[in-house]
Amino acid sequence: MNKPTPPREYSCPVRPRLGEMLVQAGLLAPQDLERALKLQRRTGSPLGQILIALGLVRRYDLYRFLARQWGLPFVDLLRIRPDRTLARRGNPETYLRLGFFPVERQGDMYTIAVARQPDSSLVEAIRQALPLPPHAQLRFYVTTDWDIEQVVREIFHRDVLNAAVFGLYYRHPHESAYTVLTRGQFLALSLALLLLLTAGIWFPYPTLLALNALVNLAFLVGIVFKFVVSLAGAKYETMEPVTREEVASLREEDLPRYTILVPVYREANVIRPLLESLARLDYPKDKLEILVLLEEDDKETYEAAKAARPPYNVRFVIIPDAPPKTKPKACNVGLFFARGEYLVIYDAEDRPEPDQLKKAVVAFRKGPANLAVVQAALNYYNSRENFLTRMFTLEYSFWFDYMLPGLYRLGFPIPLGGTSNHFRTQVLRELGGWDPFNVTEDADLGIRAAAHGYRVAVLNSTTYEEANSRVGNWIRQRSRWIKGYMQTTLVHLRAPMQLVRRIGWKATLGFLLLIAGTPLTFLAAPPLWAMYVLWLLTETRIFDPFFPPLLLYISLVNLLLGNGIAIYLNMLAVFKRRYYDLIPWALLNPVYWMLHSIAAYKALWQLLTKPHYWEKTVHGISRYGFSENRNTG
Amino acid sequence: MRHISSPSLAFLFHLWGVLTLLLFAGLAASRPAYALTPTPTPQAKEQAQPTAQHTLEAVRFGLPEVLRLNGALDEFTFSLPVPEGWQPQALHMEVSLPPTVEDGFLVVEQDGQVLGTYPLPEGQGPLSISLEHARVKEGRLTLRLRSLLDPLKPFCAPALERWVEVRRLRAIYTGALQPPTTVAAFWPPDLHTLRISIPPQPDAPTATAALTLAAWAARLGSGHGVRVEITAVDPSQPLVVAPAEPFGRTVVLHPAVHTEVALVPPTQPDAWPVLMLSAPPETLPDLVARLAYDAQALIQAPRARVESFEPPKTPNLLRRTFADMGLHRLSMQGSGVLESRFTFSQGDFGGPIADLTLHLKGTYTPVPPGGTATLTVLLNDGLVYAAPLGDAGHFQHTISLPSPRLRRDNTLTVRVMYTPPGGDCRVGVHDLMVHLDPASTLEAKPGQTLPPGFQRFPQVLLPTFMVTFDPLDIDTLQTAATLVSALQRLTTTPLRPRVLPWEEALNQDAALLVVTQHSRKIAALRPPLEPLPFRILDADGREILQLRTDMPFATLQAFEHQGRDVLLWTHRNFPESGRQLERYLHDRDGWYDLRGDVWLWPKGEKPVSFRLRESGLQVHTLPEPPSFWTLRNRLLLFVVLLVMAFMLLLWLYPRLVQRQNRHE
Repeated sequence: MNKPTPPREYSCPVRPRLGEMLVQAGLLAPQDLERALKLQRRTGSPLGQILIALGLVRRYDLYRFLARQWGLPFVDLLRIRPDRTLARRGNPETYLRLGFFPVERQGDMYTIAVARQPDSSLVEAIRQALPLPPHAQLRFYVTTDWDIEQVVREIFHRDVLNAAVFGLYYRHPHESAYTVLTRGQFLALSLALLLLLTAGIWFPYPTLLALNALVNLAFLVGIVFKFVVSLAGAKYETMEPVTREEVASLREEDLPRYTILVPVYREANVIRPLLESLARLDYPKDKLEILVLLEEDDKETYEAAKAARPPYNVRFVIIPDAPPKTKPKACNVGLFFARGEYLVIYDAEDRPEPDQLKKAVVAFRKGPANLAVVQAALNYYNSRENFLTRMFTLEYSFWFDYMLPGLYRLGFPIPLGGTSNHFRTQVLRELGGWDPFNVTEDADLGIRAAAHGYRVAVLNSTTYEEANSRVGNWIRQRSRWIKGYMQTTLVHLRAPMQLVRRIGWKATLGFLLLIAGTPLTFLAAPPLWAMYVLWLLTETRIFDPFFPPLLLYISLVNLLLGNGIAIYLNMLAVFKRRYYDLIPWALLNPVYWMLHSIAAYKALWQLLTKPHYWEKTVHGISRYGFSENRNTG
Repeated sequence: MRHISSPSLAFLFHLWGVLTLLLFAGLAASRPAYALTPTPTPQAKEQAQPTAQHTLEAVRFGLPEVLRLNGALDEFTFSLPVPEGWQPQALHMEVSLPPTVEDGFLVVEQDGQVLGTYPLPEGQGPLSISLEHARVKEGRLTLRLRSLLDPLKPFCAPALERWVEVRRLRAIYTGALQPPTTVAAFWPPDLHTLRISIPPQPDAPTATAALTLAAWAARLGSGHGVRVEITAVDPSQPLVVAPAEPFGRTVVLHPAVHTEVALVPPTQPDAWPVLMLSAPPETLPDLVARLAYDAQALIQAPRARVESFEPPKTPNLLRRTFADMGLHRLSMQGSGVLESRFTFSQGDFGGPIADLTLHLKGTYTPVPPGGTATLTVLLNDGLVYAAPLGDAGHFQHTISLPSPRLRRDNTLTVRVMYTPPGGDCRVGVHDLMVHLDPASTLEAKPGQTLPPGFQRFPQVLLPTFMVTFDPLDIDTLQTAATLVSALQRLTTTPLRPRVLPWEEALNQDAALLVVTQHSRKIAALRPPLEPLPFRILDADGREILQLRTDMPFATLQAFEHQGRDVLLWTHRNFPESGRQLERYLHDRDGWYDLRGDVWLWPKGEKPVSFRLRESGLQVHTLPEPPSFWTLRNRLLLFVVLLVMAFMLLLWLYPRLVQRQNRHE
């Protein structure tokens, strides 16, 4: 190990100006300095941060000169071996948050590497964080924040992984899907199964009749619920939660630091478009932290990401290769290293509208104090590619443009969409981050936020994604979503009365209809369709006993009116975005629902056999590029 | 058997005396203060009786709830049982008259002798008749009630406005019940319940014996069904406790090495002796038949070893005189419409008949000058013959009764329409007396004129019929016993069932009674209705009935299969129906109420009978859903599914309620 030159105790010398030092050293052109200073006056960010974000100075050089400016020696943390025992006395999150890392101890002398100028508050924080005895003396080296991150990742590799995987489970085991069922749930469901079996064998007619009645009534209630919610959403169709004027009035110096998490896995082909897309975001670069979450075993994407030469505000976070291999685990690791006040997730193929982050900031500022998440709308840029993408577009348009606003307006909990959900980072950490065992960690997080008293709002900004255009890929993706809904249902129904107490009867009912009802609907539909088709073809009377008059009417309402309403709502979905050419396609929804049912049965099977398995959706397979899309204008 | 408008001479004499007295008293128009001394009320006598008093409701013995005597003169003969040890004391009843009847009498007769004449109360009221002088013959008390309403008014035409209704007819007895002491005295004068105890796994001969006994028992129920209860008894200890009851008996059929008939004394106080019939299994049916139909002649002791015996022989029944058929009182007297009605069934002739000839003989008092009389014969209320009665004083006619008019149960009416000279129909003025010769015969030729269906039963079961079960057990045998008992009510000819194994029974030619619960097996018989879920549509395709998969039902079907008549009892998921069948077949109408060829009894609903074949109705068998199989094998299925469910849960538990990190 190359030992650094002995540092001196903290003092406060007269500092030369950083920009001038860099210019004098030939590392920065005067006009670039002028540009950066201009930007600094606008955003109020530290100059170094701006220089790095703009890619004008390498991080390493910057910190070397900062060390010189602060009168401290510079150390390359990756080349020395910090004392692991000493490092473990503190919390890695604190190291990252405060920008220091303990290097070694010699008697009462503690050597600390810092990425910020040490001052009395930092000294006090270090003494408390490690913690140090009163007679301990400190000496400082300067290092880069990136080095601190790297060394934290190296030394606390297992801790970070553990926190990412089991953080939620350790803190709130009942909120984690690690255990699919609790013992009580297993017992209750087993009893229900055995009771159903017993009743089915000994009292088949009443049992099947009751089951049929239950399913049909649930369908009816579900249809009415969706209709009412979407009507509420449609009522506020023209309202804009955040206006352009509000966005324009934002002052850049007031903007908070924003972290973007982009989990990618085996998506080397979308890295470059992703970076281009993120570069289009209208947000100060120096206040934008982009963490590209790369899986350890995904060398291809990593190489592609490096080759794309991302700007300096883009950092790669390598996700340790350990089960479960899920997006939420990667996001939790990203959350660990995130330093923004707000945080948003984008998928690799996402194309958010440029002003989305600013709109989110406005939404958070305008929203209530307990507003924890803002969900932007999702839509597709390749909607006209084929039948599947058209149906997907109809579905998403209905969901994000009508359903979610309706849920918000009516006070129901909102299951978050997979991406473009903007968080208050601190609240997200309080909530325990994402559940890495839940394959719809987003929906789960939305419900969890509601259960903890936070609100989720919707944002009038759209992120365009790539619609799944292949059936197999679609079924994989949808089976994961449906399995996640099943997991979410089971997790939040572990203590049903507690859920009711926390979010109220109405919201609980909404949760049941939306989250529990979705998989159940698709599971129950095929037998009902089969019965209908069989009856249609053979005019058989074997089902007559199970359809007494009242139930028959309900079934007919479900069949005709229910399906009609569902198709109508899908047609309604196109109006906001004026996708009028998609209207006839809504009539093909029954075919699309069949695919849902296939996915639902696959999901059920996986819930029982591989509950945490993440069915990866392949992106970047669309024939359409983002720029070719006419939907995005 | 009801004899209407055939008053006896004794009654007429009595009536003549009454009327003469009335006339002399000049009380023709108003209610007379009759000189008759009303028979003392029984209450006074009952008080003197030291022994217990018993009441028998007549309705329990086949008499109608409301007995209506129509016209100016009418009569009703009935018989009530008198158990050993009881003495009849009185007859109580409620009578009611319409306002149009100004006065009337009820005359009680026995064997042509008047036991008492009772003025009827105005409107309605109770009436008690003393039976102090009534005689009991062979354990029965036979009485005739005659009504005489407004006798001074002429009644050439039927007097529809005159009637008397008798309700709540009941007999009062005193005395202490005596249990039977000999085999011959074992059977009561009227039987309501017969309990037959057999081994738990009956064989075919034992089942035959039990059914023969059931048929016999039905003959002991006068005007009502006999409840036959078959119970299992341990063959090694065939002792059962028989309750002490006047109209119930218990018989044990005991397969044994020796043939013995024994009246086994009760082992418990307040119980009664049990008749135990022991015999080698193959001879048990013949022993039962012999004993049942000839017990009086056979054994006058409480126990007897029977060394050898002949089964009873069936007489030739195709030519039967009125006397053979129990028609003894064949006199009619009066004016206007004089009528004798006889009922008989095809079974009374030993089997189905296709042709029937009546040889009617009789005598009559000459028709006075100025009067006219016509003899008519009606079969089932359809006129088949008419001839004037002239001066000859006797008649002899051979009348071919048209086959199309023949039914299973027939009513033959011999009617004389007599108009006295000058139309003076007053009683006793110009009476005509007609006497039918008991040697008159009904001669039948065997054949079949009835379509397949219930109407062919029981005559097609004669002289003998096969019975088969699937399976043969106490429950199915109970069902068959109930059916045989109900069928026996319809004919005086004894039914002779013979139980055979399934395949053997199906290969015989004789009529067949099938009791089964397995639908698949009976499909080969091609019954009108297979016991599967079905719906019935009318000729226009409208659904009139549907029995779904989950609806248990039982059916009784009468149909022809390969030239033989089959009576099929089966059910679908309604195993208790066999034991409950008695409720419907032993009520007042019983088998008479069955129409068509299918009797259908959905569980929890009232049974219906209808004709299915050649009726325009269509049966659509509903496809048998898997649940039908599960219904039949539900226990097995339940166990299998339960085991599978537990295995599934055991497999799932570590996967779903895991605590360890798993690598996927």
